[in-house]
Amino acid sequence: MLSIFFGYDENAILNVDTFFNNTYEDAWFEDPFVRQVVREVDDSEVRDRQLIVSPVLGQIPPERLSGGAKALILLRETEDFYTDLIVCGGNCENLLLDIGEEKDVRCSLSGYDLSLNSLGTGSHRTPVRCENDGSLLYTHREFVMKMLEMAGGSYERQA
Amino acid sequence: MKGRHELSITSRRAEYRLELERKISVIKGNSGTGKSSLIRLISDYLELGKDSGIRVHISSSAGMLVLTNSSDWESILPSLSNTILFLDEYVRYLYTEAFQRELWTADCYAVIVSRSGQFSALPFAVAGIYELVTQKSGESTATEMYRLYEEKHGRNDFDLFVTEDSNSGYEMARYALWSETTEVVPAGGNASVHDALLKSSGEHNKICADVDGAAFGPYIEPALKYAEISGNIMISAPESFEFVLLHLDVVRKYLSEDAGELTRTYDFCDSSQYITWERYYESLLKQITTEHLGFTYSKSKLNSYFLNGKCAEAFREQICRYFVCRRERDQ
Repeated sequence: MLSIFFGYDENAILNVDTFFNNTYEDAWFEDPFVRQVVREVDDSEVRDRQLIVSPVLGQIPPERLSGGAKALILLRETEDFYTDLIVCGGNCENLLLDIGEEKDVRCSLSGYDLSLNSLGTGSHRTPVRCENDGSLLYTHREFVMKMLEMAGGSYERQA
Repeated sequence: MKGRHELSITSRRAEYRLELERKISVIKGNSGTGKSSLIRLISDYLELGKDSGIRVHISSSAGMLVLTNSSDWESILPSLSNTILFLDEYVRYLYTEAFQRELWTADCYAVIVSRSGQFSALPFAVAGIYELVTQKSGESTATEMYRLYEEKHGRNDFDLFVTEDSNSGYEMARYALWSETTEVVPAGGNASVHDALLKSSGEHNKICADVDGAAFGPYIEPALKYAEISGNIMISAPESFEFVLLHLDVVRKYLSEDAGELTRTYDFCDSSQYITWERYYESLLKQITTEHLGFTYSKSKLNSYFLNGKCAEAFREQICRYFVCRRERDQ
């Protein structure tokens, strides 16, 4: 299940770029889901553990992936990665929900750009948990209303 | 700092073309569009110059500076002159009120790459929010800025009109729109528009929220999201109420011959003096009314000079020209 703390949390990792570059493991790029992330978010193909082909940048190492792709890979491959979802664009949404169907992940969200349009439909039936009040959000509408209510704040986390 | 600044940043495989017209430009959009790569290229160029192999062309004499977490922004911002700042989303102090306030008077333009909603102390324009779009041609690519939101014409057929402004703008709206079928209510500021819509959306068939586009950037995405869910809300975002008044014939005739103050505001609005164009328009309207119309425009109380049928008609026409919608992406 995906759990989201709505609001700015200074504990959330914002520099996903550098964090990923200093922590990633080559073996992650053998995971078909990671290859799907690279394909769907960055429109690129994983050819080898250290070789990705981008239509814009040519042959690149994993260090040159986008922040959104790196965040999704870290959420998938590690157990305690905690980031602010402002690092993810709209093209990360479905993959983020895919991860939430497979495992428990926690994030914060201090912006309004995500919609989670497919929440509650198709293969995304698992609700999103709002960490601020413990409520479960089953649909796109419920998610957006909670985000509008809480994401702009800079709240103290409840113990 | 004034003007429209065109930047071209070119490396072996990619070229970025940026056009900056306002003090604050915010770049958002999908992941993987090259936002961080752009800032990386500029950082490399600023550190290594021609040794970087990166070519930079700026249409003006402006300089560039990339701020990072280790930058001493408190001493840098007051000393800036004619500089384009670049900030990526991971710069923590970007989300502090102290930094945002200091930016108000800095002599710079700023390009901020962030999807954060933590900009309540940094007003920026709806028209200043962009995404990057890349087009490939053979081995090379060109990446350009496109506005995330556009304006479209609409009809004045709402039964509730919510004004962000509680004073002059509200007075004009009440005069121009109030009728048996249309109610006009003030929201009391940009941050309160959402609450006003939340209270009203279930009780009305069609609602228009009138906001100052020049400063509503931090709030437009949540407002549009709620409008899309509600299905009965339109957001009208002309630059500001003063911008609307400056278009009235009785005022416009005192602008320069081509009305460049309104069509090329970037050539007139000094970024160190005005954080948004809204404030420039207010100052300009005060100047024109004082010099030519025998009174001084006040935001807090609308002079009766503007409360007549002709001005009301022009106000209604302007409101209907600026309904905000998402830019349709080319497939």
